[in-house]
Amino acid sequence: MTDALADRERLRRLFDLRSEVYATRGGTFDVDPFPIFHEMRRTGPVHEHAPHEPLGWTGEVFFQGLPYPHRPHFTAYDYEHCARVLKDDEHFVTNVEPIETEQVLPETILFMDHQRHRTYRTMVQPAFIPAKVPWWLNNWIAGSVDRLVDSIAPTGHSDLNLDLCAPIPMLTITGSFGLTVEEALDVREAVTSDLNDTTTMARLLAPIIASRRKEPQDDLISVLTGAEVTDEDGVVHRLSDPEILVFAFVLLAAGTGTTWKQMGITLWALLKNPELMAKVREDHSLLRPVIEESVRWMVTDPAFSRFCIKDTELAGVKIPAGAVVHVCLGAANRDPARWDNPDEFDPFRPMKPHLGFGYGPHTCLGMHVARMEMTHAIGAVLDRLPNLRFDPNHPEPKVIGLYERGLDALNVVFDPS
Amino acid sequence: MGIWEVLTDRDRCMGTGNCVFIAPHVFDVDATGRVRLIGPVEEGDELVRQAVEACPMGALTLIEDAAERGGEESSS
Repeated sequence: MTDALADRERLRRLFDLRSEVYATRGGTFDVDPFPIFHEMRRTGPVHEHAPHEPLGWTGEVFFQGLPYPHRPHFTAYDYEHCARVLKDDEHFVTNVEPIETEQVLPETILFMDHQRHRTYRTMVQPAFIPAKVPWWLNNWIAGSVDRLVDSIAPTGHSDLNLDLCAPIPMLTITGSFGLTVEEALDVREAVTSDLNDTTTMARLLAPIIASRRKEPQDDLISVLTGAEVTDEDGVVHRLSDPEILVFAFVLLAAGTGTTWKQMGITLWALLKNPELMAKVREDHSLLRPVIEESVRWMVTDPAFSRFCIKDTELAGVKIPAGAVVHVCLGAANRDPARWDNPDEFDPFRPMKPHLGFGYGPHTCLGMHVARMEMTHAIGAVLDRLPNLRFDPNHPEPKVIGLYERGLDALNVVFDPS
Repeated sequence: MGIWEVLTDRDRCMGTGNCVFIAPHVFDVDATGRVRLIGPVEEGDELVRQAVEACPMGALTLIEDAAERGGEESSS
């Protein structure tokens, strides 16, 4: 593709769950957590612990709601209670007055609640509705997928996790901010630097923000520079540069950080089942249930959390105000009360809403874009890499990671073309 | 057997588009980022039931016995 992406060592470092980037998310964790999730649901479904504790992880953790060692921690493992916690923002919110010095990103929609969250989210929501998906596809997704598959197809072999899955979402979201491919990797580096290289981000984005303020373009950064907010005194104003920067930070972190792992997991699930893969190659409409089932069955980020702000009870367990309540989406998505044979990857099962993209006010903003990235990229792989199969010279891929899960690699071979 | 109706609460709606993804024949999110009904709600349409359930904001309500309730109209 381009010289920037040809720096495979850098790409690998930025997209390797075993690397330093993912250390505090439990990136090297390689136990199958699902038997333990099932056990916790059976014996709970709500327990007083954080999700990594029953999994035996003793390393340092830094994730939403973690570590907060001075707060009590609870985890819900079933569908009903996970859904309730995510939806019930009278009791469960994403931000509280910090009682420790542990820093959370200030002023981002991830940590806003109620009306303030609604105000900021609805500024960008119209760019992410289903009707806008063709805009994303035509402006940023299709071109990146074509160029990447062009460079892979003649070689006959690839680590698709690195060569395809990692760059596509990164190029999509950075492209929508007017950033070049070269800058995309700098952005990725900045958003993965545990709290967090805002200097680099400001250097990269400041000139673009200035230019879009003068002359808006048909892109996402122009949505932010053009957005209007009404403050408490009823005065309408544009977002300030720092407000745009933190907004951009969240969108770039989320955009470059999640979909690539789900894309790899979905391709892996197909490669393990050649008969199904052949069916999907023949009929691309099957990509929709395949991707939904993948997100249900092996969601990349299996646990998020909320702060409890009002004493309440979950499944008979008293939850005091101040507690961190983790919602184990990975476990909820395999709740046998909702899905038969929940551990099976079965895209033909009756579809039911799952929690893989979250629920409640913080439901994934980019979910429709993520679905299209996966649909288009996997469709291109099936169309353009004939006789696709696991590379027998490499060990079979494994899903690793704890709070962020994905493949260690996805080495495949195919007939070069 | 009842007649199905869907009530939409546009003040709660945040425009996530979950309903549109599941049942695009009935739901749409308009340019203001709020839900609107674009097709008839057929009794027994499981996709409509799922779309209502999947709304992250609880902005959709399915009334399965709308006739008995006096044919309450969907708000818009």
